[in-house]
This record gives sequence, C-alpha cells and structure tokens, in this order.
Amino acid sequence: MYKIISFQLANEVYGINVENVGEILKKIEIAEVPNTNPYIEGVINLRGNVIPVVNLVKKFNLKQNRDNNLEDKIIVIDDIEEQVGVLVDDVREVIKIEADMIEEVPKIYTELPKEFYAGVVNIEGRMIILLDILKILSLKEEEV
Amino acid sequence: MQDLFDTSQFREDFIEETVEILDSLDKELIKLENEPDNMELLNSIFRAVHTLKGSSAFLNFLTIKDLAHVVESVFDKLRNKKLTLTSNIMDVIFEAYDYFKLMVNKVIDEGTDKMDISSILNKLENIKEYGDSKEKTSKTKKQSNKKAEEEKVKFNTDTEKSVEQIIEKTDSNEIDIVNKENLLEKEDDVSDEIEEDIDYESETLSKESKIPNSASQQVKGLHSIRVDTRRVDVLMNLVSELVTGRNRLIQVGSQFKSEDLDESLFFIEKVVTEVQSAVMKIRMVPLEKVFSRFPRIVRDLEKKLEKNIKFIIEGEETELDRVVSDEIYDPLLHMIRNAVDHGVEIPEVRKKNKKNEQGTIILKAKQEDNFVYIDITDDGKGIDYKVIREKAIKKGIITREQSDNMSEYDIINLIFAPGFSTTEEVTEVSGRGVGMDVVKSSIEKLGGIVDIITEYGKGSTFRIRLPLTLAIMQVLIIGVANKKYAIPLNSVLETIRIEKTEIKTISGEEVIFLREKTLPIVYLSSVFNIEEYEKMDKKLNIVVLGIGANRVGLVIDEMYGKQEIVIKPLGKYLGKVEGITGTTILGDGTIIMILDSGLIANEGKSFSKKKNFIKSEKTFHKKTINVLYVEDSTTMQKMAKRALELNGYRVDTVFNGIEGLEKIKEKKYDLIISDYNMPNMNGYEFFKEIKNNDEYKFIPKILLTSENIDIEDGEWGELNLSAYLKKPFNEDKMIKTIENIFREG
Repeated sequence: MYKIISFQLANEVYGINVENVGEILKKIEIAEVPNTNPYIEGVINLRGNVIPVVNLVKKFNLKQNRDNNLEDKIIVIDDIEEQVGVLVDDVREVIKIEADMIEEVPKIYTELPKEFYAGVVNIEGRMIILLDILKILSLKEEEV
Repeated sequence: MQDLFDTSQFREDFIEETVEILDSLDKELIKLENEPDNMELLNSIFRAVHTLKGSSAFLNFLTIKDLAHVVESVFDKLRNKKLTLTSNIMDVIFEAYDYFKLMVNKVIDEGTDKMDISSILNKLENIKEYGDSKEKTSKTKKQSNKKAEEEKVKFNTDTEKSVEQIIEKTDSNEIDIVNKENLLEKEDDVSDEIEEDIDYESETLSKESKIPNSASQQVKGLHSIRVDTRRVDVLMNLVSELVTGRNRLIQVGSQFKSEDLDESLFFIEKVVTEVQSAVMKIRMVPLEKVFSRFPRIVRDLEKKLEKNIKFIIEGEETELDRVVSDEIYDPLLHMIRNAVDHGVEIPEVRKKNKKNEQGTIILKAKQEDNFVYIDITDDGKGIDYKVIREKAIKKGIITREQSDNMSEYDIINLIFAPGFSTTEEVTEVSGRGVGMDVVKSSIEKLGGIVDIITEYGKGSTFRIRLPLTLAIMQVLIIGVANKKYAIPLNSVLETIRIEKTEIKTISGEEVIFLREKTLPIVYLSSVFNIEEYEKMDKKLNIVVLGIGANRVGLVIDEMYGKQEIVIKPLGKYLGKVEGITGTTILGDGTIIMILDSGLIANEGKSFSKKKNFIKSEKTFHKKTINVLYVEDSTTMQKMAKRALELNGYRVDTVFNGIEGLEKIKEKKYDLIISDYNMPNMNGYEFFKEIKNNDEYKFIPKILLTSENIDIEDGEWGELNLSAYLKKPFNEDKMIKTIENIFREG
C-alpha cells in the first residue's frame, strides 16, 4: 500500500509518494536568486536552512490558466541529498492506494519525459498522474 | 586471535597514523639532506620508522614492516656513525620513502600492502652492509647520477598523486584537536613503547629526554582528539542559528527601551560571540599540513631543472579554516612551481649576475587581524613588464594604445588575465594547462585576493590574502531596486556620494573621476537580470570595490550599514550561480544574496570579462542568426564565439578578409563582424569587397577597431557599416549592439 499526496498543477491533478515529502508549507516569502533558470522560484528560509524552490508549472512548461481560489503551497521534498521545495497550485489530500491500482501512463501524456512519470491512478473517476519527484529533481540540468 | 578485534577500525587508525608519520618524515628527510649530521633529526626519523615497523607488523602489513625494518637499521647505523650519509644514500632513502607512500595507498585502495620491493630492499641492504659503494667526494646534489634522477622524478609524480589521495581520504573528514596538556604524558607513552623493544632500548630513551622540541612536535601530530568534521559542521550550523537569533533579538530588543533587556542582550551577545569564535577555532587547522608537502616538490623540481634552491618555510603554524586550507594547496603549488621554474635562474646565470648561486624561495604565512597572508617570495629574475606587455598585445588581451595608458603595475597584473598563460608556453613543470587566471579565480572563490610585487632582476613576491574563515563574514548591506544585497566588506574600499552629472562617458564606458583617477561605474543590472529604476535623485550612492588591482564603483540606491553575517551556501541543487557567492539570513528572517565582488570588479575591466550566465526570459526571441566573425586573434575569436553562442547566435570564425570572402561563398550570413587590423586583407578592404558585391551588400556589418571612427562620414562612410565596436569592448556591449541592429531591421 502506498500513500500519495495529490496536488494541483495548472489543470491536472498529480500525486507523489508521501515518503518523499518532508512537510508542506503555505507559500512563504521566496527570495529571488538572480542568474538561475526561470523555473527556480528562489530560496526560502526553512528554520534557518536556505532551500531552493522549484516551480513545477514552469519546469513542466504547463499552461497556466489557474483558478484564483487555489492556494499556492510549497511541498518540501526530503528524500534527497538536500531539501528542495516544489511550488504547486494547492495541495489536495493524502490518498491510500494499492500497488495494483497503478496503471501505465497513457500515451496522451507526453508533456514530460517518460522517466518523470510513475504511473496513473484512477480515484473515483478522476485521473491522478503519479510523478517520480526524485527523478525530476535530480535531472535539474535538463530543460523540459 | 585477530578475529576478536575489529581490525577495520585498527586499519583506519593505522592509515591515519602512517600518513601523519610520512608527512613529518618527508619534512625531516629534506631537512636531513641539508644537515646530515643532525643527531636529533636522525633519532627522530629512526623513531618514526620504528613506530611504522611496529604498527604495520601488528596489522600484518608485512611488506611495509620489512621495508621499515631495513630502513630502521640503516638509520640505526647512521645515528651510531657507523655509516656516513651521502647524497646517493639519501636518494635511496627517498626512494624507500616513496615505496612507503605507494604501499599505504595500496592499503587504502585494496586493503593490502603486497608489492614487489625487492629492488629497494637490495639497495638498502647494500648500503647497510657496505655504505655508499659509489660514494663520491662531493656532497652536492647536482653531481649525482642524472639518469637515475630523471627516473626518480617520473616516479615521484606518480606518488605525489597517490599521497594526495591518501591525504584526501584520511584527512579530509577529520580535524585534530590538540590537547596540549596531554603532550607530556603522551611522550611517556612513546617512551614506553620503545622500551619494549630491547634492541634499541637504552639509547633511544636517553635521546628522548634530550630532544623535547622535535619530539613534542611529532607527538603533537599523533595524539589529539579526532572529531569527524561533520560533527563540527553541525555545531557550526547551530552556532550560525544562534548568531541569526542574536541578530534578531537585537533588532527586536531595540524597539523596547528597557535597561534590563539591553543588559541581558549585551550578555547574550558577548557569549554568542565567544561561542562562535571557540567553534571556529575547532575548524582551524595549521597551514603546516599544506606547507609540508612542498619541500619535496621543490627538491625534485630543482634537481630536474638543474637549479640550486634553498626553500624556506615560515609561519607554518598559522591557522586557517579547514575548507580554505584544503582549497589553497593547488594555487600554492602552481605558484611555487612557477617560482622554481620561471623565477629562480640557473646557477650560471645567477653567478654572471653577481647573485648568490643558490637561489632562495620563501613560503611564509602570517595572520593579521581577520586575514591570513601567504607570501611566496623568490630572489630570481623578477617580471619584466615590457615582456608582459608585448605578450598581452600579441595575445589580443590589450591593444598597444591601451597599454600606453597602463601603469607598470597594471601591466604586470595582466598575467592574471584569462588567456594570458595558455598552452603555448606550458612547460612540463609549471604547465598542466592551468593559467594564472585559474589561480586567481580559485583564490577569489575563497574570498581572497592575490597581488604581485616584483622588481626586475631581483625577484618577485606573490602575496595571497585569505579570510580566516568562510563561515562568518563582515558585509555591507546595500539596496538596489528595492532589494537588499550583501557585499563582502573586505572588497569595499569606500562609499561615496556623487552628483549624477559627474559621470562621464569615455569610449562607451561610464566613469567618474575620483581623486584624479578614473573609476569605471557599474550597475548591478549588468551582472544580474534585474530592472533598475532610473535614479530620480540628483545624487548617487556609490560603493567603491577593490579586488586586487581592479577598482570599480557600484551604483546603489540604499546603504543599510555593515553587519556580521553567517554565510549560507546556495546548496548543491542550485550549484554555482554567477555573481553570487552565497546567501545569508537577516535578523528578520529574510534571505539576501551575497554578491560576488570579484565578478563585479571585473565588470569594469572589460578585457577580463567572462560572463556566461543564463539570460532568462528577457532575451527577445529571435530566429537563428548566422554570424561570420573575422579576427586574427584566436583568443578573441574564442571569447566572441562563446559569448555569441550563449546568446543563441550561430557563429563561424575565420582569420582574415581573404578567408572571409571564401567562407561567405559557402554559406548565407545574416551578420558579419570583422576586426580592422588583420594580415593579408584588413577589415576595411574586406568590407569594401562585401559592399561592392551585389549579393552581399545588404548584410549588416560591424567593424572592430581601436580607433574612434565616424561610420557616417569619409572613407568609413563608404563602407555602409551598421555599427562599429571600439576595442576593447565587452561581451554585453557586443550583444547589445547586435540586438540593436536586428531590432531596427
């Protein structure tokens, strides 16, 4: 059994494994870092640690036609060498799923490189795209 | 039996101890070469080898033990005057030393010391039995067998690398905390151990008591508390938190006018400052660790280059942050090699110039205030600024016209300019493809500066100034476009306020006159992609930055004063960000960027520019533009090509007008950039050909020249140029000029 955290990016709902998540923050002040890739939002002060924040909408080149009722959140990803925050358009819920619920990613999802996807799950008629967030953050150099 | 022990733990201890012994042996052997009759030294070396024998035998490293055993007996004979130390014997001892290093390395890598040491064993046995059979009367090193010498040098370069690996592996994660109280006690331990060995018992003990100096030095290295640096780093981070908290407390506290509060704040501040400096001291390591690697290198080099050099080390007890200390080895190595190779002359030349045949190189460290100074001084031939000038002109780093306005000092500093020392003149010794520009930038990365003091014919001094620590820094907090930044205070010379009208434009560069000297003006927007507001104020605040010989004035909006801050690195994910050396958290919790003052200072010196940061969204979208770049200097070609390609242009380069005309037949170009001064066909003739050809005449043309020209008029007017760039120009200006052409078009 897995637990995933689902969150919204542009018009889609995505999910990542809870085990990779350190904590979820309300959007706090982000200090811009000049001369970095546009998808780097900047850095935040997480209890005295300076950690970078990646804007996934920009990183994935998604069309941003967002609903203004969404509340930006920063998901702190923990399971890597150092913490990295990802900026998302609202976090929805934690969902329990079974391994056999995970299906292969349909061919229509081609926005991202294949290795970024971990699969899809169908929860009450709604598709949730599972992301391999560690892979996404480790391939920072590549332009998506 | 052995299974009862955790042998791996012992092995680590063994490796650590052995590396330390070899480190100090290295120094002592060099010293011994100059003082072959120094009994203290002979005893100390004997004891070190004896320890090595004991510990390697205990852990079953029998090859090391066997070699140590023979070396030990050679030294036993030496100190009992049954054998005379000659240069040949010394060479064999050095060879044995190299074997020790190889074997320890093997232990680290493969867990075994097994290797063929029969040849060295034979040599040592021979010496032990018969002394130096090839003994010659002279003791000068120069006359020893040259071929053997060369082989040895080759061999040494290998071992040098392996020792570096050893040191990296064993030392990098550990810091010694020397417990001075323990020294005496530990000395006794050493004696105890020796006592057990019946062979050498009585004599060793009696010598032991007579030589407190060298013994305690050795013991100091061996007996200290070892702490994993990661633990120290954790502690340091916590202290950083404390400092940030203190800053915040002071900020909040200033709002209440309470004497009690102020008093306790004052106390907290005092304690925090003390804790901070105490933790920082733990991170400090003596430069000895770095310095001790050089005598051997100098010795091998001087032999190879047939020079005669006295190498003196001073102030090796000076302490430095471990991180700085680790990083400073390569730049120092490069400069010391330079001093041996290019600085000190060969004995015949020195004699002719009425200098002492033996040259001297001094490596000296000292601490002053919050800085450590390291000087590398040689009494060699010095640097001739005229030679530097010609070379810099030849390489296209400066133009002759420019050089007329440069001081000797400025010209000599050109050796640090990128592209000055290139592969062309790389010798086997100083070479390795690293130029002085790399030395300079690695020192600047550590927050240091490097300076040259040289007198032609008499010698040179390279002076490095390094901050004591990288963790905490004095900065000036400034504001540009409503954002705060921190500038390292060690690069700030002064802050001034000027009238806007004082800014003059000289050949496209904005400058002001400060005490009769021109000071180039830079804006933060030239380093960062930020929008600066038009300054409404008639007065401008300027921070004068000085890094080495470079001086620039940075225009700022606000000045918030100086502060001691804790440096927080940007982290691995972001990696190296151009223009920023780190971040810090202010008392109110906001993060601000620490500016790379070295890069900003270089902004003002257009010839040394190298910018390659990402131009983000603001670069306007363009279709691929093919550029033909005609220029006879390879360096300029490379720089321009790189800059253009980073900005999305496709670039072909050729060397002169004739080649340019050939190239243009092959491919369609959207822009031609050409230098004026070129062999075979200069820029004027080339562009005239282009202009007179119906097919090419509409291609935009940019001329590069060191003259001021009027492109609208006279013979230049006939060329129908789109623009010209006055040399020297920087990449930004070139890109802007090109963008303007295509924007208009």
